[in-house]
Amino acid sequence: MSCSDRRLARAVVSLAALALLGGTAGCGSDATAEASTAATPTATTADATTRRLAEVEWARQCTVDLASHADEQAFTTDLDARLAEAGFTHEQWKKWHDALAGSPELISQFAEVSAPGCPAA
Amino acid sequence: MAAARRSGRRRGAAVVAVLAAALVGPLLGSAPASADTDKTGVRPVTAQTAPVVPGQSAWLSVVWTGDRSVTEWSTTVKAPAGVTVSYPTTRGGSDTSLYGSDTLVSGTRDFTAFRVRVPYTQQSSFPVTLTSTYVDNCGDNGQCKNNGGGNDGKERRYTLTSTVTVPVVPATGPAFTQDTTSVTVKAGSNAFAPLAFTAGQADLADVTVRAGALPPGLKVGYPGDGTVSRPAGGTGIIGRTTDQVGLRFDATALAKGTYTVPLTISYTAAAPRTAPGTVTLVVQ
Repeated sequence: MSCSDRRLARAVVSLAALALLGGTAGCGSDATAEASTAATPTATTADATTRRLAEVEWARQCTVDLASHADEQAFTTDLDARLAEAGFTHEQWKKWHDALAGSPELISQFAEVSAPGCPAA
Repeated sequence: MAAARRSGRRRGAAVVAVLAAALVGPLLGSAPASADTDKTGVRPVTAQTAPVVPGQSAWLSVVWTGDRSVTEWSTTVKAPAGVTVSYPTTRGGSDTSLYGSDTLVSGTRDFTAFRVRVPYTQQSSFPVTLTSTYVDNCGDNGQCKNNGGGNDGKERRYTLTSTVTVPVVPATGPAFTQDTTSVTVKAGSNAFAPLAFTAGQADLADVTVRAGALPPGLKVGYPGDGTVSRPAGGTGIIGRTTDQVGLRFDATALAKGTYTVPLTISYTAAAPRTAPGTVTLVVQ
């Protein structure tokens, strides 16, 4: 093997190693996606309680931009009043809201609740 | 021989080029998301916010929806000169996100909140420009991380610019209301008593309260031995909020009974103003 051939071989080996590392990094990304996917079977299921929470949230989203507040906290005060009227706590709403992104069932249920649109003002 | 060597070098160069392309290709595939088209369908639901009045500070909200779930939501708001915008302190004060989290879930709604301070000179409606950035976690095949289909591992960060109108309407109602109209003190006492005031729709600046001509035997003092009393929370009162001033009623030389104490309330709205008031002092 000539000197240039050896250089060529070294280059081939180096590039192959880099390509392999690149592939490994890609697998890392896939592993992340799979980890998210794996969480789906444990996603929160929809039931009557989550439906009522979706109804409270939908009603709030229909009117929240109609009012201004002197205090930022008033947004939460308004939500908590709506929740209390429906028999829920802020913590229950928070748990439901956090579960929404990972639960196709909750998303579908919210879509059902919001399908009729906002009530006329 | 020389030609064969050159030929060998060309083959070697071709091999290196192919391998380099194989290596660099995937890297180029991870080019910045700006090259992609935003397929999230993210859009504002709100065309105009709640109305404000000249001179008002108010927290407003803009509702958003989208066809795909997006994460890492951030919004900044630009308003015309003279209108001041501020953000929730929970995010450091330089931007706002969504109420529930920084994720907008597909098919749902959430809102961003921000505060505007409208000068008294702003008599007409004005636009605000909202610049929102977010990340789409779905691949070109439409499969998304959170929906269990996996994706191509490519981050797509988008920027959406939206314009929303902030209506400005004339203020109604009084500039302020005096909530405390009566104070009860013990005979022989000499202590501060709070008087509460609530601003009307607009903010009041440079609020001061002082007593007028006093009934014989009554002395009134002010914090810091000053000549006026100011709101406890600052020099002014934000519209639709309540604050209180302290007046020290020296009733040591006052007989039991009911007295009327005149007040002078000064404040700056569109311009400096003075209004009269009274407080009933009951000495028991």
